[in-house]
Amino acid sequence: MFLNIYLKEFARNLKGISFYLFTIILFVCTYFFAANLNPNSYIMGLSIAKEWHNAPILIAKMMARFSAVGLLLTIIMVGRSVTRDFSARIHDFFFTLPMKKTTYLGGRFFGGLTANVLLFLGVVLGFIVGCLVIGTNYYGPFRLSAFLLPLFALVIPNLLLVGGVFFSLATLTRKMTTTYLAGIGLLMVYGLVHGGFAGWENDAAKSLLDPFGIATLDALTKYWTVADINTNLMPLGGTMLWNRILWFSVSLVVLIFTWRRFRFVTVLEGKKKKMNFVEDHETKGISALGALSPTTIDETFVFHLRQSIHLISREFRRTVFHPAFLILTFMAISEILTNFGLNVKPMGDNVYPVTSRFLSETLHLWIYIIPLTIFFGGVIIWRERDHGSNEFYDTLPLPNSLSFLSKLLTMMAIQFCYIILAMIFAILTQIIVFRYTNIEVGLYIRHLFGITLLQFWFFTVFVFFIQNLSPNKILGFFLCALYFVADLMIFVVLKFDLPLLRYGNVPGFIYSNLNGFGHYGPVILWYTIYWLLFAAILVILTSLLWRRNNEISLKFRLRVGLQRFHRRFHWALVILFLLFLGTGGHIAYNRYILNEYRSERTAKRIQADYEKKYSRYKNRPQPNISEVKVKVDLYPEKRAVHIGGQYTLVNKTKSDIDEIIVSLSDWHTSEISQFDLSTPSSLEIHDSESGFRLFKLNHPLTAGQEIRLDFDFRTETRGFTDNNPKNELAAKGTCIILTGQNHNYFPRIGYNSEYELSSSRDRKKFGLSERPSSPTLQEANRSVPFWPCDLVTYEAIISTTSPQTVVSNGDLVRRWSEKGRNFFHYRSEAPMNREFVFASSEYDTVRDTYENIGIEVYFDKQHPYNAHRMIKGVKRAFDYCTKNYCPYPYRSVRIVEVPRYVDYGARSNPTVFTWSEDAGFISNLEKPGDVDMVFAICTHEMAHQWWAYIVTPADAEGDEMLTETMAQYIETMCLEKVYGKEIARKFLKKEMSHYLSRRKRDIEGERPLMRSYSKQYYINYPKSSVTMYALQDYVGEDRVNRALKTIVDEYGHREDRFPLSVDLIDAFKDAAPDSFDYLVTDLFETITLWENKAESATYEELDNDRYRVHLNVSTHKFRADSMGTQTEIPINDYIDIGLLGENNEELYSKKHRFEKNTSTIEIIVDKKPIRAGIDPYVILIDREREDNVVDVRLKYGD
Amino acid sequence: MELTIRNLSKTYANGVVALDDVSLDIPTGLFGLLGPNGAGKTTLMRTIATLQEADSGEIRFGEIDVLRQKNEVKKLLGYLPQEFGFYPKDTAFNILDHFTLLKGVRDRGERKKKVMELLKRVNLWVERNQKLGTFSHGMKQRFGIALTLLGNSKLIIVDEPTSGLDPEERVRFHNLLSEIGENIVVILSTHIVDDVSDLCTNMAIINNGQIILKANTFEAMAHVDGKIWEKEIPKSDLTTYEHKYHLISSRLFAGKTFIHIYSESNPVDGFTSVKPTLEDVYFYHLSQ
Repeated sequence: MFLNIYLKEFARNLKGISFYLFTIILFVCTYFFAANLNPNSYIMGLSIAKEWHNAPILIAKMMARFSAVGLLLTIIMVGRSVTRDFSARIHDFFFTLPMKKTTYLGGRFFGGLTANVLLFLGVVLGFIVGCLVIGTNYYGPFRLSAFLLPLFALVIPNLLLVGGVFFSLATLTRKMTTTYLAGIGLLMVYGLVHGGFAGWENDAAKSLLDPFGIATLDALTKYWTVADINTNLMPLGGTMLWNRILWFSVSLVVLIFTWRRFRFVTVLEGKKKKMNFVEDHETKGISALGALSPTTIDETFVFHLRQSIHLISREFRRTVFHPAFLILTFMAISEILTNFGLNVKPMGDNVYPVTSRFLSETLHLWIYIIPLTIFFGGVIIWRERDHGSNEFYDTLPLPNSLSFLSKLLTMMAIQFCYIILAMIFAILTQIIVFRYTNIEVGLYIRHLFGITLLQFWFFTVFVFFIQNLSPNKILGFFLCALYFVADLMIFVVLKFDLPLLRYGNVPGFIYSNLNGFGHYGPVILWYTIYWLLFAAILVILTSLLWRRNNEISLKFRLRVGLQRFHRRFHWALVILFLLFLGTGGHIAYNRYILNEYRSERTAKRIQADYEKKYSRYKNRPQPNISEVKVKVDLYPEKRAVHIGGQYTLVNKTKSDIDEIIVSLSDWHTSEISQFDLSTPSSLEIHDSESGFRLFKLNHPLTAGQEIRLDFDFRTETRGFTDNNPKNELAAKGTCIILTGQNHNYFPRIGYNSEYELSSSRDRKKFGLSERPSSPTLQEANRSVPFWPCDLVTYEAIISTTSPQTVVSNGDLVRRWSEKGRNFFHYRSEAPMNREFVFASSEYDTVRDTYENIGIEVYFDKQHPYNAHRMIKGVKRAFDYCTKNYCPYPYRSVRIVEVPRYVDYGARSNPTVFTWSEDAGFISNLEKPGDVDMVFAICTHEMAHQWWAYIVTPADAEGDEMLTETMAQYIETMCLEKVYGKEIARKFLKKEMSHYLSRRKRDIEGERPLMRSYSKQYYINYPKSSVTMYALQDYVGEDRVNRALKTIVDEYGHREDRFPLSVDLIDAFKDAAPDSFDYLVTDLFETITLWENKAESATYEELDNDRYRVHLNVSTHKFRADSMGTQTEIPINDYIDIGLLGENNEELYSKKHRFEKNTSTIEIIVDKKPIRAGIDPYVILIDREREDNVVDVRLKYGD
Repeated sequence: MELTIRNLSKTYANGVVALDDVSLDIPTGLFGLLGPNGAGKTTLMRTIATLQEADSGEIRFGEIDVLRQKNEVKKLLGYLPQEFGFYPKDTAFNILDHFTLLKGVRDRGERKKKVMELLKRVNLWVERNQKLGTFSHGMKQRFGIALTLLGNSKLIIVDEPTSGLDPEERVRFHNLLSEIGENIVVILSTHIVDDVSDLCTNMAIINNGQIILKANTFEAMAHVDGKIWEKEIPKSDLTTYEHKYHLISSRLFAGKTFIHIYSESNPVDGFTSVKPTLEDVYFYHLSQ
């Protein structure tokens, strides 16, 4: 009997649409997660970087999250099982069967539960398909235990709990509404608590009390390395075990309670029975009434409109009150709300929630819109047929298009409401959560309705087209899903760059706060028109073929379609089709003819060819630039620039030079009118694809001899393209940087190795060998700088359209206006590293001076918040560096806000920092106790004036130790000096956590600081702060700075000799007492981690008001390899021991030497100790930082 | 207006011949289309109701070419399908009001009046706010009839409306059908002979997609008058009689087997002449 009920319940769940809908949703979500190669894109708050995409712990985390969010599915599948008997009025039947309530309730409950567990097949398939799609490089072996363990340890207990609670609620109240409401309420509370909105940040408590084990899992695996993640199964011990036991007991209690309270009674007491069949009351047949009264029939167009509104509103209500719809919507809302919350707090730094940040998050709606459109589109289209009322509807004298359009518009209206909701939630989040009032309603409307909604609609039209032709609903679902997968495969996975063939697609665009949609505007507009026309054609075709009879065969449907194909349709179709072709032609003309089109593959092939053909010139001696004199005319509104001028080149080598290599991208310049050397020469090679040029000099350039390169060229923008959008030329926020990294707008001397392909996959594809990221320390050459290090004098006359201002390097000698254009004359007599900025926009300015330098901040008037912090940062770093290293050679510092098109946050160039609109200018630092990151970043960038531009590293691994490590060090020290130790510790805690949690995301494998390479941000930045702080804490700040000064003295302002990371390390070892050499090795030469733990501490009061403390500590030290595999090494270290009294007063702090793993330390202090610990402020890298300190207890006995 | 069907044929994709060169003239008034299950009745009804396409042939309703001017037909059409259902939570009143609007009745008051008139006519006024999911089969059929009467229907097609109805409901339903005006064409397709004999003056019999009889009901009966003979026989002898006579039907009455045979002259052998019913006509034609 039990089995019977159980199987029936199970089968009943499998028959409903919900089961399939939700399996597919889980599948789609998981698929997107597993197949996601972008480590910055989150699904359900998770993302993947270097770890295997099917790593066991990722599967466990995903399953745990789905079991929580899926709580609403559980309501349907488990909670509803008994109430369904009531609403179907078959409970009378069941209740009269001779059956125990255990059998009945148990069968129902576990039948639903089993079906619910089966949903997780979607997750399993999602992982498998996702991994298979992205290829074998990204996933490890599939292990059955990786799926089964979380299933049994997380999913089933969670479902048991949630299912139990809802089953209980539904069974005892016999009402679904209460149950749904309770479920939604619970999920909201959970979301708020979990999201930290309630300010509950105690990890330990959260770990234990999280009913779904999500926080538990996250806390236990926080600092797992890639090696851990790829191999370990989910942890089952510790808090996880207790958490599971706790919640399993709770579910048992709930289930027993339900069982005890449940009674086999038909009607709950105190309630009237209200579900009787209609009793046929006595009738005498039909009363004779004679002929029916005639009716007036309205067939006007206006009345047809009225009828369609009636149909739409009916259909709309039907759809939105469907429980599955409500749940889907709720999931969508919670997803976007979570993302709103996550996104405006990148890495925990608060940012003003500007509108554009929310816009990109609304894209997550797609995940819900796709299944929603496919499923409810199908339901809406087939509704009459499913009910069996289609023949009544099909014989109504209504225009064919009326029922089709009503249904189409219903779906569109639903999506419209989704967008409205997203917009309202975004605005409410801005106002209520962040108290931000600069709401750009116009932008919301343009972006959400003009772009996002239209894309939803395009998809809807397609779904309707398919479903209408499909002989049944299920095949229609399948075809739509197939289309969706095919679209992904072709355009996303295989990356076919054919936007004109990707239905409904608007190529990727970037919205900038400074520049708006800018030059992407026409791209968006034209593609939208193009697809609108196509969608209109689809609508007409669907309308013609719209099914209003029982014919399935295409032959008859075409015949009916032709009958409906009136002359006006002919014209409409022909005109639409011509317009569609015309628009497509216009786009193609702009993309392929007006602008030179380069596919991603072509661009890479050109890069590969450049390397293959010209890398032999890589170490060819070349002259240095000694003077840059340019005249730059910017036409931002036309997105054009005219650049003319000259480089003076000097042969600083000791030999003759007879070939001069210059690269200038022909792809970025439209017309080159002058490009000559000042001595007779011939252009031997000109590769117009890559812009490589080789001049053969008639007379070699002897050592010390000078030569001039004169150039004059212009770049214009023609039409529009998404292929090479030339973001540097923005109507508001043009920013061209002359640097050694590219040769797009300015000529670059010598072979450009930065232009080489970097990704190993691409290199393999084009037959290039693996590229060594940088020379190793052994093979490094101190005479080769990391980037072309020419110290040049600079002079530029730059003009732009009024009222824009141009920001560049050096001193602003003069500015004037002429014929509606603004002119700026910049000059620097003091030689600077050759990196020049030409930025033009309408800026607000804040000015200040310090000592004899002028400080200027240029920013968009919408972002005035942080200019004063920037100035404060510049001053402080200026102070620190001049005092400790050497004077600042220039007279000004400028900070300028640029559009987010650039791929870095803040970038330092000599005398000018460019700072992306995304960070810094919109940071919100008003909350007391926050680390002033704008100040900090500013000190960092200012530090680069010394540690990048005065001292330039040699080209070798570990080069960033001389730039980023130093900048991070100066940043930390400035923070500590201005804001105090507390803030510095807070900063360092975040830095250490950042380093520890990002290690696992390193695709190339971790390296020690001494040998890190430039893409290892998590080492070069946060680990640097931590290690440098530790170094100065052990050996003293003065000694460290003295060591640094020796480097500046030896290598500053040189063009012939550049330092390596080992030089810095040697300087540290020289400056530090010999006893700390080991520490320098631990911090910089190896990957070393400590595990310090205070086991226990007791105190006893001595006679003379003094206290004796016994502190038991353990300390372990590990070396890690590139994958994070740890090996313990013997300890022989100095480590801080600290005692804290009342109000955190420091009673004792001293470095002790440890030679064993466990020790007991005895200390006598004057005041009552409260807490004691080893490395109490966690200066050394430690994965378990919370256990370094314990409470000191009174000693009993002895 | 009269409905004319000429040479209508339809073969399904699976090879089943549903209509084979069907020609019929259907005058105003109630017309019975009688035939066993699977004879092609529903295909014919649906083709007239614009819900299916024919392979060849022609249907005209007055001046209207039914197969092409579909919307013109729909303006005059009331169609009650053999099987139908509605969203079970809708009420009779709501659905009827909804369809009245879709039929083209603009004025709200007129709609209400029309719905009330119809609900009273089909005797569902009291149950107007009851959910359709709770309706009995008979109530549902009556509700269906109300739907076909909306608007100014001139052509009403009811497909097997009485199957599965209890005798009382059937009587009620017959009364309802007989009330429908006489100036319009009402086609009643059924496999129940009494439906036709109770209601229709004109009828046709269809079997295997072919019309095997079209006649005035009275004339059809007159044609076999005096040629139908009845006898009570032991059940075991049925095959013997089947071989010997033109057996048209056998039925049980109070546990005994009675057979009807067709014979121009008196077969003697214990047979007695009976007054023919339409059933005899029907079985006679089917058995040929």
